[in-house]
Amino acid sequence: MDNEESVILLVEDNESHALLARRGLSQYKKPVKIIHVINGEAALDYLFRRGSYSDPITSPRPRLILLDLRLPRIDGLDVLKEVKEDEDLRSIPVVILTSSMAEPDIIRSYYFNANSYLVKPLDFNDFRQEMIDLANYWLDWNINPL
Amino acid sequence: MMIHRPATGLATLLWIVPPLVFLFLFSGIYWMWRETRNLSFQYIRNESENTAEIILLQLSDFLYERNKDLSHLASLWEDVSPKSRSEKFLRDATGIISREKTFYAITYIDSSGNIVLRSSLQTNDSAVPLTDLDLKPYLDSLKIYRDASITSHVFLSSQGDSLIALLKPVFEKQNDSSVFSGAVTGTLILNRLLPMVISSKVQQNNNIVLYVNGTMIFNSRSSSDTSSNRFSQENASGSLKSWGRIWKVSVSPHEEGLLKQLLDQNNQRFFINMIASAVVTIFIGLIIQLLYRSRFIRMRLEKSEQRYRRLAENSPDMIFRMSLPEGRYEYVSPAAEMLTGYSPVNFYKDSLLLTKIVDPYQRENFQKKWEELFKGIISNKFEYRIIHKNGSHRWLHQRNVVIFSKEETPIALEGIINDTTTEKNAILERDKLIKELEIKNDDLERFTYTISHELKTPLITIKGFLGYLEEEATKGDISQLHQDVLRIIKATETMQRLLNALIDLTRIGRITQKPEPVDIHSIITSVIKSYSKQIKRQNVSVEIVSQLPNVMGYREELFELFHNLIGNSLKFMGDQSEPHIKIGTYLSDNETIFYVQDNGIGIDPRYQERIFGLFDKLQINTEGTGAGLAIVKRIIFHHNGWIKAESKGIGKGTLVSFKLLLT
Repeated sequence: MDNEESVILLVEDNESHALLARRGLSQYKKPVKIIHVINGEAALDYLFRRGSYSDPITSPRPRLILLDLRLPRIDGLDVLKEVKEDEDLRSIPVVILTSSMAEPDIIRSYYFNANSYLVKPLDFNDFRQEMIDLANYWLDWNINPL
Repeated sequence: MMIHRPATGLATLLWIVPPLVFLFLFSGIYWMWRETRNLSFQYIRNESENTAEIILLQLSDFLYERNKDLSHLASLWEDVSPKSRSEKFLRDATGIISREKTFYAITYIDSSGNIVLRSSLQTNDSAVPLTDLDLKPYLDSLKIYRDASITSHVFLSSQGDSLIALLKPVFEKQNDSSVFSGAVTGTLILNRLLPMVISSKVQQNNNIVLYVNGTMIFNSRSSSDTSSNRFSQENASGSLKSWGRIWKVSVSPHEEGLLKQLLDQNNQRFFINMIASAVVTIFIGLIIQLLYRSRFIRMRLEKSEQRYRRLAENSPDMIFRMSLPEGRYEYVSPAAEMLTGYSPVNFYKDSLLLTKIVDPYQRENFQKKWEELFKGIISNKFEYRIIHKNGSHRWLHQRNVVIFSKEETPIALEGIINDTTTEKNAILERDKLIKELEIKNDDLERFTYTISHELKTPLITIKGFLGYLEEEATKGDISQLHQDVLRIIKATETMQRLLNALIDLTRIGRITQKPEPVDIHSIITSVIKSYSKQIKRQNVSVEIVSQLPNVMGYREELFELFHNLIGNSLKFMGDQSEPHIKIGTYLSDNETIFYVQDNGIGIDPRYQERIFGLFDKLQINTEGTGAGLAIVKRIIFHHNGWIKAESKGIGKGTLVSFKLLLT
């Protein structure tokens, strides 16, 4: 495991935000492979290895899912629901990463068994630190079944 | 408890009847008793009078007959020779005495009163005290007058046994003149004589008293009961003058006689009649009470029934009673006509009428409830809508009470139905408003956090890249710096577009003026004009298919509506070789529906619901904020219409249909 790159699935429709997350995670002590999809449909296609994501080598199982909520086509919550309903995928930690601090979003996320709910910090340094801490916690300290 | 006031007068009047009846009967009985009593006395008095008279006549007859006997003996002195005279006298006298036992003795006395000849049943009856009788003055007067025509005379003695002595003077012819020579006497004892006289003709037990010249010489009563006889006053008497004396007989009823019997009978009858009348009175009293009570109860029932009936008849609510389990109406109040348009008669004729007029879409539920009622499952109240005879819809609220028999089986259903249309409509209206408000509130909430999210997104970008910008500037990484600056600029542009869209969105519905007729055709023409460059560039054919009607609404908003819809069609045309947009109307359920149709990229059926959401974009790489269709939806709602988007899938074009209010 250690000699392999950890795979993180980043579900984010805003390209700038995706870049900010990518840059933040690049500061993490180990190299990580970030797979970025821009909508919920693509995220589910990837996770369930549908269409262009059918090859397990090019589309490895992620160790962490960073999920934005407001997505085109299929919403982030729907993605969360499907992941947590699937016996195989449910153990993958899903961290909600959104700019929304709306109460209904938080409640619904935890209702659908999100593992964590993070609000994107406005401050640049905070954002970067959050990404590093996130990787540290979920990739280093947190133990998950395979 | 009800108090029966009006009957008090009648009641008092009724209660006077029994005493009156009793008084009437009593006076009748008393009158009868008195009359009978008087008649009894009268009868007895008459009887006594008759008796007295008979006794007197008998006595008179008797004395006359006995005088004749003495006359016969006296005639011996005229017809028979003196020497056989005594012998003949004694023989005849003895014959008379033995024949007529009433004679005590027959004697012949000389003119001085000395007994010359004597005949008697008893041989030693020297006790007969002729001497007691004061004969001398009589005999002397006969000597003087020497009148042969002088007839017999009666003498009485009141000493001892009552005696009557008949004297027949005997005159002898001496020298052509009649000389008084003596007299034939016959003594009779009244004590013996009178009972014989009485017994044949007169009622037994009567008390008879004989007076001669005012002196009592005979009394059939024993002296002891004279004083105690309560009828002693009730005597009757008769008198007769004979032999120079006044004979008087007084008859009075005996203590134990007929009168007593009559009076006792009368008294007895009186008491029996009194008891009978008392019984009759009590009986009448009971009947009156019975009549009165039943009448009183009936009146009270009638009154209370009247009262309740009036209450039911005048009630604005429909009151009914239905027998179970037949389900037949026993009573329906007249209010039924007002509530349903059908008179109570209709309900009596058709017990299922209510079920028939229930609003069809509630009928199943109503029938279920109704059937439950018959089974005794009580729904205390339920509400349903009916179609009034006049066609209008009415809400009725029904409250039920099920009446059970002693065996706990339901026998009747009583209920009140009232019209709650006004209240129900108000409630429905209120519910509708609440629902609308809830939706609006939800919308507003979603709107708020959508905005906060959407505005925060470029802000994060700006701040994030500004941070990197600083680092890159320090490192002198110019190429990266340039890219990041572009990202920042793009984010600010996004922000501006979002703000503009928000302003557009919030402006809708703020228009305070009244809706006006709007020429849709001219609006679409100007929208097409505003897109003329883009249409030309994309080579799209835009076509107004049918004659477009005028719409009641707000010109600016309607312009924006069509601007957004046509703009969307142009934006999502894809790489269609013959792109075209059709605008027109069609009829659906007699309503004119507008549509904007294109043959562009279409919408995945899975996402068709989401396209009208604020900032919901199906494609991130297209321009725009995702507010366009949200604005469209808001305009449609402001015009009280509806909108839907249909697509048969990706690449198959989109049909947006919407309803607007026509002029």
